[in-house]
Amino acid sequence: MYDLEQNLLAAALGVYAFALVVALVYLWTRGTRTARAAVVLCGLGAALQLAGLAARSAAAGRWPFASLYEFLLLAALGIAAFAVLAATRYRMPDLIPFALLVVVGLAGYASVIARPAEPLVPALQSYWLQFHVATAILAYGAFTVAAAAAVLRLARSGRAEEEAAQRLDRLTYRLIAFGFALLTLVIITGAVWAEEAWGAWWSWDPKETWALITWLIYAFYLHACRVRGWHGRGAAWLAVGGFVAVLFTLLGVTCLLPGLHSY
Amino acid sequence: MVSIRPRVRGNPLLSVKVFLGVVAFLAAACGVGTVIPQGEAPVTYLEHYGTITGLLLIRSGLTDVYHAWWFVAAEGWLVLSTAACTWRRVRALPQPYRLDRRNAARTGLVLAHLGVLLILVTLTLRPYTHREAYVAVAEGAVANLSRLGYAFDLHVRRFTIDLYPDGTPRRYVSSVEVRENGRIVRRAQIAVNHPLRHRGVKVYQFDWGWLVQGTVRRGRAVRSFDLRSGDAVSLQDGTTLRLHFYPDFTLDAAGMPATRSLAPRRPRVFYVLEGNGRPLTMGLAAPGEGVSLPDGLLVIDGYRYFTGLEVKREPTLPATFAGFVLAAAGLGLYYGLHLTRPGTGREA
Ligand code: HEM
Repeated sequence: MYDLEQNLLAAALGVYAFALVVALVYLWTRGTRTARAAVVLCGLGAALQLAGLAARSAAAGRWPFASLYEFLLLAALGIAAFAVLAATRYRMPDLIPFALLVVVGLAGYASVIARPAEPLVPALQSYWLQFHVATAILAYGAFTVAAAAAVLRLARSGRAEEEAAQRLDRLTYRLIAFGFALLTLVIITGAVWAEEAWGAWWSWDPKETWALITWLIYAFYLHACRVRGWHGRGAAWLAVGGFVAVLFTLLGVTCLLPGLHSY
Repeated sequence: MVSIRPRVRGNPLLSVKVFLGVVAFLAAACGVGTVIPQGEAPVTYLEHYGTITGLLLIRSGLTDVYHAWWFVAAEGWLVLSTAACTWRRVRALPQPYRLDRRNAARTGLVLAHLGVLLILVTLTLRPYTHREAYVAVAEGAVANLSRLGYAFDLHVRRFTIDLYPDGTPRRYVSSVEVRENGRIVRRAQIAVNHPLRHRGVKVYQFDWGWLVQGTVRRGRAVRSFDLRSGDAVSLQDGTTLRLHFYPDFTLDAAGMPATRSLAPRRPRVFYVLEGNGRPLTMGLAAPGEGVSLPDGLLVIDGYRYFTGLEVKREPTLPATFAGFVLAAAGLGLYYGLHLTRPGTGREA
């Protein structure tokens, strides 16, 4: 079963990497068919990854929510799914290259630290963990695509592109608003779980604290945009900054700082 | 679109502009708090950062950021401005109130701010209002919580570890009797993720370990001990005897003592007699047999589990959880209505 899982996940990574190449070609050539191919390949990668994760769950008899390896795969899946959705719904294939860059990075790093599934340690046996991870996947997907839109926004400066820039501003705002609501749920479910497992709903553990920093950055963004009327490049830089905090919470904290979290 | 902007009057220190400054400050302070190790002993900082920088860090509160006066003050500021804003938006709700999409969104946002407010208030107050205690209780013993000011005692009848087929732990369970004034009022199990709730107090399964009992005889002097595995007894002549218990003793690949499993198949105590911090002798003792030490005799009588329980009372917890519900529901209501309308966003 572990072989099947690893084969599916390797295939997914291969397809993602190929999709990234196609997406970069699209940025160069601007062909509509190339764009469509990149989107379809990204979706195909996500489907393969989903199948791989399903094989892993079936073998382990539990959801794949328990290690950095598993969460990296889920985050990559969430981002790929969000990118495909946003690219089709808003007709913005330009979002795909940036999102795929992140997906390939996360899934690639995951493949380096791959390990067979282990049984759940007692602290992880909680329904709250499942809500915690499920909401995190959605939040990560939304924030990554928001950052993709913000980066595109920063790349456009000419007056002629004013309308496209405004569309990107709006998309960034909507995705961040959605992600912020979900990040709030991530933090709340995590707090309720910590209260049940350790008796402290907040303990300033580095992972927690970085989730809070991320949340504060996005709260800043939302108020700056909605109440103080920030827009354009300043707001876009803020969206990119929020995404850096997201990545740091996911990887930087685990690799660089000490803490309670198993990942 | 749904636009909710009451005219901002009142104290400019509670304005959105200052709020943004405080948020940025808190985010930066939190970041610093994750980079500098927090709450270590002062010497650690002096050694690691040098005397001058170390002292500066300690004096400024950067070694305990989350409890430093300036951090708590910023939290307090956030609480006040959020309260002020929530109040403004409550007053900005139309009178008389008519439930339509727009007002529902406004109400959602008010609830969300109110929820965040409750969470922030209780987060700021928590260090001053909650009490906790750790007790390590041997199987069969009673934790005298009433002596610590709680309304009951806990008799630990059994501590068990359930295993997965591969031998890794699946569940740690303490089976307890709750006693009030000596009377048994309740039987319960405490496991990780399943704390005991009794009279506003929560009791958590925190950790566990082994206790080793026995005696050391030297001439006429008999010293008995009941010790956590890993701890040491001090003997009269200034030496100490450190004991490590292994239920299923083996030597690992590096030749170090280890246990194959948690089942007491080959229980052994690995002892180290230390003088001046250096090992003098070491060896293995099986329960029931005597082992001679330099001028003495060590006898291990038995071993048993202890369970480590964390006892907590947090009076503000219901308010925190109410805040969670309000924040989640309010944001859901607000964005559910606000983001599903076409053309929402930056135009505001
Ligand atoms: C940490 C505390 C706070 C959180 C988490 C929070 C959260 C939010 C959220 C999620 C929104 C919706 C933004 C959007 O439309 O996308 C919002 C809106 C708003 N908040 Fe806050 N808020 C907080 C504190 C404050 C404070 C202190 C103030 C005032 C000083 C404030 C004033 C406002 C105003 C005026 C809006 C108006 C949005 C509109 O244009 O309709 N908030 N807040």
